Order: sequence, then structure tokens, then C-alpha cells
Amino acid sequence: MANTFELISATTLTSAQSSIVLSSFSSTYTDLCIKMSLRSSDASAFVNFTLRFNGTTGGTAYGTTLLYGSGSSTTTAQNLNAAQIDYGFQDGAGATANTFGNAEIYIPNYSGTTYNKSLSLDQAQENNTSAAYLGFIAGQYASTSAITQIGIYSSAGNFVANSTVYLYGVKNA
Amino acid sequence: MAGSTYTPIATYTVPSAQANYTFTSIPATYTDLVLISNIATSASTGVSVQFNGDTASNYQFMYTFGDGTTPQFGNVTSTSQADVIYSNTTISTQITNFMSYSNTSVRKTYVSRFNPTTQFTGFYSGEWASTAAISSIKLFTGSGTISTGSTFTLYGIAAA
Repeated sequence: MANTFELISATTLTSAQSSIVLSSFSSTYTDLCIKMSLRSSDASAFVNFTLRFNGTTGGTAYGTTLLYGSGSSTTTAQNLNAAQIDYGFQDGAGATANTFGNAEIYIPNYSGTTYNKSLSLDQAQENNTSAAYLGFIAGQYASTSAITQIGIYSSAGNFVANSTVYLYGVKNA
Repeated sequence: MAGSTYTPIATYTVPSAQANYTFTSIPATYTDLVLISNIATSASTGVSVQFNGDTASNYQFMYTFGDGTTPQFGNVTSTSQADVIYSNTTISTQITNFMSYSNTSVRKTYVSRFNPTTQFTGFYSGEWASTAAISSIKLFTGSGTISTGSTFTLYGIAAA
């Protein structure tokens, strides 16, 4: 039986760095799925991360809509015509020690050139001592170019050692 | 490892605008189903399902979503269809999990992540009040049509 959910790359940080960039992956899959576990060196308990594709910076190519809950309330936010996909959740140094936030991103038809690119992102910032956050994102990259590079950026501090990013390719046949 | 258990059953690319599409002859050999939709529509609309051609009021569903301003939620009961996708004119990513679709001892349930891009993001969960194995899934818009180039892929997930 065909293996249709294939690991393309596995990244585990051995030292702190401000970004993780995935590139040189094949265009032969139908979709991409990214599973991440991230923590920042920033002193806050909660730190954002952002996404950019193909090295596209600045401009207005990205749109993000967020729904999240803290355990006591539910909130929604939106940032359209922006310079990056916003509102990624990760733990910071102020969160419970050795605890990482988790996220899964699904990007269909990443190599297509007809439509803009869209994504679905589910995530949690874990913290056993105070409020934690569970969030959901609809994202858009307003480009018909195939996605050949995915950049993940910590909005404050650096991603710490043992942060992980796994990139999977999904085939529909 | 999900590897050999994440098996494509069928994929469909919309060749020209149409209001519905039906997956048929879904084999009962898997445990769960995953539907990946990369969809745009001619109008802002919910996209519903009916299973096995059942058009009676045997469905119910709930939803929660955020539009950047106010979180919202609601439910619809005893209806003839269940929403699994919300789409607009911008291409978007939607992921639907149909649990235990082939188990004839349980009613069928699903949970779906809908993401009408630049509009809102949220969840549907729903139930079909039937213990029959799901062998067909009809997807249809509430208004307008599904745009050319939209894709639907149905995967089978095997527990063993």
C-alpha cells in the first residue's frame, strides 16, 4: 500500500535560533503538514511566532483570522493584508519549565499555481501553572506561486534547543 | 506511524462550477475518514453533507467561530443536512474528520475545521442519526456554486 503521509524533514534545534526555515522540499506531494513543538527564550510565558513563505517579507500578502480560548474566555482576532501569518502560539521562558507549545499546520495544494495559498493551523500554548491558550487559525498567502520555502519566526527571543519541526508531504494518489 | 493508514480513497478537482459533488462507493475497510477540501465558492456559504442519500431530518450540528471581532456559536437540530465547510470566494483550507464511519453499532459523528479565508475560522461538529456505514457523501452548497479548480480528497484511516 502506498505511503501517502511521508516525513520530508525533521528538525530538532540543538541551540537557540530566531527562525527555522524549511526549503528544498519536493513539489511532488499534494499537500504539506507541519507538526511543531516550540518554546522561546523570551521572558514572557506566552510568545507569538509568525510564518512567511518563499521569503516574501513586508507587503500585504498575508491574512490571519484567529479564534482562541484561555480556559476562562474566548477571543477572536484578525490581521489582513499583513506582512506575515500572525498569532502563532508558543511557550516562553516564563511558562512552566521544559514545556513547549504545539502546533499543526495543513497546507493543501502548496505546489499549485492557479490559486492563492491557504492554511489551517491548530495550536496550544501549554502552561500548568496559570492560563494556557488553545487557538485556531485560518491563514492566507496571497500568491499563486508554488510554496518552496516556509519560514517560522519567533516574535520575541529565540526558539530554544529541543524545539522541533516535522514536515510531512501528503499525496492524494 | 500514520504512513500506510492514511490512504487516498478518491480525489476530485472541480472541472467547472457546480453546486454539489458526491463521493460514492466508499469502502467500509477503514476506521475513520478524513476529507481535505481546498475550496472557493461563488458566494459566502455553508457547504453541507448528506450521507447515503438520506434527505430526512436526521442530522444535527454545532458550530463555533471567530471573525476577528466576536466569537460566536450555535447549533442546528433535526435538519436534513449538516454543515461541514464554510467557504467564500477566496480559496481556503477545510479539514473534516468522520469518525467510525464504517461501524454499524454507532451513530455517525464528525468534527470539521472550517476556514473561509479572510472571513473567519471555526469548528463544526455534527451527527447523523444512523448506524449505517457511510458509503456515500454528498457535498452541496447552500447558495452559489463550487469554483473551478477546487479540490476534495477523501482519505481512509485504518486503526490497525
